Amino acid sequence: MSDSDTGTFDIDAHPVKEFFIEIITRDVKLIDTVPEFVDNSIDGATRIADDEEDLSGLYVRIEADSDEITIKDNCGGIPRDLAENYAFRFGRPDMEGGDLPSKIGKFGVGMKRSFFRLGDNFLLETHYHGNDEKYVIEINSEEWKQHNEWNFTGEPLEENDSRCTLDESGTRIQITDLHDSARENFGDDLFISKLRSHLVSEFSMFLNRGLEIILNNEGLGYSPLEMLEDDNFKPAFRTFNFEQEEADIEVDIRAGLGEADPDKAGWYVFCNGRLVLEADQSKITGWGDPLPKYHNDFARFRGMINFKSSDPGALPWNTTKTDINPDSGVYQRGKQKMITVTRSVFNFLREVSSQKSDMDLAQGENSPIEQRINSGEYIDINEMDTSEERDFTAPDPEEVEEEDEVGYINYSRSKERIEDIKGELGVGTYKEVGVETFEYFYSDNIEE
Amino acid sequence: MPSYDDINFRLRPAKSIERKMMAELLQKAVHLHPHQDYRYIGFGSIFFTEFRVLHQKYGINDMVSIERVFQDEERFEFNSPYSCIDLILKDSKDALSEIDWDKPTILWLDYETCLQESMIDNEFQVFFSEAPPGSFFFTTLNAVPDTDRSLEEDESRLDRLKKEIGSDNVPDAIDDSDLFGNGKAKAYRKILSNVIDSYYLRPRNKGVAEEDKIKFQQLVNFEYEDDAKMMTFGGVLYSKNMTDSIEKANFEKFEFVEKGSDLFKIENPNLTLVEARSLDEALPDEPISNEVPISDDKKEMYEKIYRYYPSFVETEL
Repeated sequence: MSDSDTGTFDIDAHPVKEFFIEIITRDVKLIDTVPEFVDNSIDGATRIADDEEDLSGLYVRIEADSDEITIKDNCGGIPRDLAENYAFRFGRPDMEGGDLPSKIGKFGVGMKRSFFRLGDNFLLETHYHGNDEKYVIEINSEEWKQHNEWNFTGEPLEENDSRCTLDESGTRIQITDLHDSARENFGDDLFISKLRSHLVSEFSMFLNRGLEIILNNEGLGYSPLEMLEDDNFKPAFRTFNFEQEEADIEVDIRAGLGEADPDKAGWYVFCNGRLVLEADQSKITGWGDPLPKYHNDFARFRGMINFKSSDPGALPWNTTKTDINPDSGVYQRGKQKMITVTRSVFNFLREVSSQKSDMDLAQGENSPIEQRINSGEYIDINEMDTSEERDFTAPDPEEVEEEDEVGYINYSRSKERIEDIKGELGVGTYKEVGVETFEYFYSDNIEE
Repeated sequence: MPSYDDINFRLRPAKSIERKMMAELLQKAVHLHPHQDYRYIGFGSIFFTEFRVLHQKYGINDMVSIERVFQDEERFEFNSPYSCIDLILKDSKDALSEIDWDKPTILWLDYETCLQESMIDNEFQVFFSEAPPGSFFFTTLNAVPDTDRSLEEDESRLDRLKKEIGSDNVPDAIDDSDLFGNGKAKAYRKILSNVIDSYYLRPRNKGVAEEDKIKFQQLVNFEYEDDAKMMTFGGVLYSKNMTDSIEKANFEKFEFVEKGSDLFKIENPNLTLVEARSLDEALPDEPISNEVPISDDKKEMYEKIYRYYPSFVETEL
């Protein structure tokens, strides 16, 4: 429209739908699409659960193959006004007052983006527990691209409608006409098993709260992140509140020792309980700058940080929930604390390692402190004692060695002479030479 | 060989002046917290000079001496003057991460080496992330400019600096031409002020209520030379709600307090006892007009430091 009075004229900047879809789906990995739907279900679950920490009785059932992907839950359904005004908008409109209806659906793009990434046909059936309202939204992306409107159409569901399948309140999402890459991958057993372990890690906190997630008829097992906590060892626990105008963020940090496993060592970063980084050993969690880079000495390190807020937009994750935004203020402050707690665990692990190398133990043999670490009690990090903040504590490896009834002898002699004794004693290793000569002297001179 | 086997630290005049200035400065810490509430952390070596002063003068009795020459444990323990000194035999970067930062701390990292990346990544990082407001930070560094001979072929002074402290830690504004003479000390100050604000305090203050936000006020920026050119940089951490106390402490009344980029040079005019006494009689008013037959330069040097001037006497105890 032009204005003849002022001479101004309008320039068309309307988004082109194809371009828009291309942009929002471009950086989404297939494996990250399904979790977006699960996020949706979890938002429903936390809306209807009396206690956010107890989601038992609620489930999310995922069926995925090369023809279609279905996600069905009994998590209360989506109220119609939420669908009309909020859930299907691209981006989150400002909500005035009241609780935000979502804890992990942050950007108002995840579900739609995942749908466009996966296929052409989308069906959402929901049965809202609040008023027993049932409706369905169907989208065909090719048709949608053709018309100028940005709306989708919902319609009330009658009992006799074939699309009416839910027998309790909840939501069913069905995607068909899958794109080639989705068809190929979701039809592949290996991809499904990768998806399974992905889901197990990403939603471990919700599985722990009793939510059931079922993938192709098999429930996901809860596999806890464990840390050593007993009389000798205590993981660090720190917490702080990040104040800001809209919604505060509560940050919870735990760090200590786990089983020696290079693949599991590192930081686990959560936002509102959803895993964003798993076993991270990169600079983003301080490894290599300012902390040392990963080294096998640190294979026991485990750290967990969870950012919690009623406003998911305030949390430091990116839109695909697969990475952390390092510029976020709360992350920077959290990282500083992570570095502090990591240092004390690293110091301990380095002492353990340098003491061990001084002892010159045989392959597979454990130092006294390692024996204590191995025989200690490993507990679910979610069950950890969080009554008060504390530093990481562990016994001093030197003292443990002194308390140990066993002493370690370590000395060197010329190989030629050792070989001579080896022959004489008929033993195979230097260690046996040491042990045998010791026993020989002891039985001859001390024991009598 | 550790340097304490080399030199008797008490015989370094500039260092001794610096120490007295620091002691005087720390007297004012009382406006922030009672002296007895402080913990002192330093490198006591075998002399424990600062430890003696701070315990005797201010009654600080929570003290930690860090020493990384582990073999001499017995010697450190033997020389430790008080039972309240806790000896940590570790590298300073490991030792500091073992400290509970549960009380205001005076930390003096009195290095002999030049600035290293690992100090920025470890020691300084730990202090500035954890130390409570009212804590003091000082670090002494070797600031001898690199000579052409000490550089590799085609290596500039800036290249060397970046190699030593990490190129991410060098502010863009530092140029090769800045690194001659006392330029290295100036560059160190700039680097330290930058990393303190950007790397340590900015994240620490994120999402913290305005009155609890923590700031660093630089107080000293010394340069001196006993055998090698050294610099000491330091200051105080405080929160906004301590601003009144900082004003009461009135650190700037000391002539040696330097809040900006200027270096306060501690120069020893090497006077005889008689010369020094005679100048003293005219001070604090007009030393230059005094008839002591030494250059005006030396008189000016002396004027800056006369209250802290060391007097060494050979004595049998």
